[in-house]
Amino acid sequence: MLVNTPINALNGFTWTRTRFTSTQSVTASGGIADGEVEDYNVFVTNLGYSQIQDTPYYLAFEDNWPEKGDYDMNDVVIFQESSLLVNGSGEIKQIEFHGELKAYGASYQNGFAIQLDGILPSNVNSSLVRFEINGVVQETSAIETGTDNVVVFITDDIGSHIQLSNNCLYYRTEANCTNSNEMKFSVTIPFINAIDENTFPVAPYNPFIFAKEATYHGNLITQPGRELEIHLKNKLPTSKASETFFGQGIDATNVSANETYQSNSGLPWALAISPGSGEEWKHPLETIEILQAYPKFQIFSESNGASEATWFSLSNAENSKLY
Amino acid sequence: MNTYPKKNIILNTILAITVTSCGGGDEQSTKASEVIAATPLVTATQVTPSPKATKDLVSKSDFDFISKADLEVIIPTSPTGSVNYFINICTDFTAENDTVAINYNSCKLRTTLGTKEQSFSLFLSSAETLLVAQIWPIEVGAKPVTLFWNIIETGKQWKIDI
Repeated sequence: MLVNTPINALNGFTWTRTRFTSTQSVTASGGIADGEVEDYNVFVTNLGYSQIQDTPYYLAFEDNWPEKGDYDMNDVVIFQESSLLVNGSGEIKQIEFHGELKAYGASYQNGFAIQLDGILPSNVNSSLVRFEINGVVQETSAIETGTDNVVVFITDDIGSHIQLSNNCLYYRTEANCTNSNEMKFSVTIPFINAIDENTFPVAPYNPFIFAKEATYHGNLITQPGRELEIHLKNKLPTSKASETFFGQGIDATNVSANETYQSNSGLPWALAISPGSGEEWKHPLETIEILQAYPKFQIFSESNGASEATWFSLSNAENSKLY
Repeated sequence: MNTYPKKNIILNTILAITVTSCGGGDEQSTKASEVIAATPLVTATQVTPSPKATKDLVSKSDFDFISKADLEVIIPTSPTGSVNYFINICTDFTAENDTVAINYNSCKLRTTLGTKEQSFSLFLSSAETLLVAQIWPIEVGAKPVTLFWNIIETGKQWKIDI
């Protein structure tokens, strides 16, 4: 079936509603006597443009950096999808993020953001940035100001977007603690000048959590605020991170050697896991170490990725130790 | 004449795909036991490292713990100038007899065929090794051409021909 797209439609994902009924000239909403209605997720783009959809990632953080965590990797778990709009010259014209909070087993208060390494904030077409949380357009800008690279600033307090269930200390990490609250976000970022794909970063990009201002974040660095960032291993901090925190606790960051957010034994505080588009990754229950939940993580880690590359699959998991 | 750029709309039907496994496990289990009994020198303890706590793991400083696969896809030119062609490449699908059911949410590339060959670099999960491409003529009643690719068997560069 061919559908004419409204000429004022914006590039990116949106929804179409299809209504099948004996009534003529129906609108998208409102009651009618009979028929069926279905909603379809659609992607709108100019002819000649392409869309590359990155493989989705589960981002699993320990928030105790630079101190040793409990390695249950569920202090913050976010499902992140991203896609690129590519013009006919193979240049990136726009990036779009969709995400969902999957777990929040944190005692500390954390924010979440994504850095686009090497991309200048001045190249963002700010007037066309779209930022929604739970389907509600946000009045705050999704682009953080005062940074050297683009930082997509989702929230400075993840916990403020969810409510805990009765008798539960955390969000979706304890057994028998279900929670129907949702925190979903989407951000569309068009660029003024299209960017050569060879200089554009690749998924999962540079997602990170950071400490909320004026809140306790452990005995070592009690109230670090925005300056304390926790990234995937070997990802660069933003220009707002304080380098005075590097080397404290068990952190062995060496920024000049591109070795960041890792312990002396090379362990990370964050993982990016991609089980594939049709699969789900389940995080460990509260206080269950990642290695107990996923035993093959040991071989994957000690072989430096050469073996057990699908350690995260549910068929390799101890299912009783997963949320 | 309309001077605005034409827009192309892509319907992503969200399909629920159920994969069922086949029976016959009892017979396979029996054969596996016989093989192990006949080759007693191969034991699980020789390949399984002793369990550790996560904090005791050691890895190289340059290893980022991200496992993924990459694929270069080369898209052909359009076979005719009179009809536009749309192509999508997806990873979650089932193919049985002549029926292909695709989860269009899993599509990694959506584009149109042009007058020049196009090359795209895709990054996939390490768990995704099979891909399907559908090439649709954009006209009423059109049926797609469906092609498949196996990264493990046929490599990391997929040059699509129609």
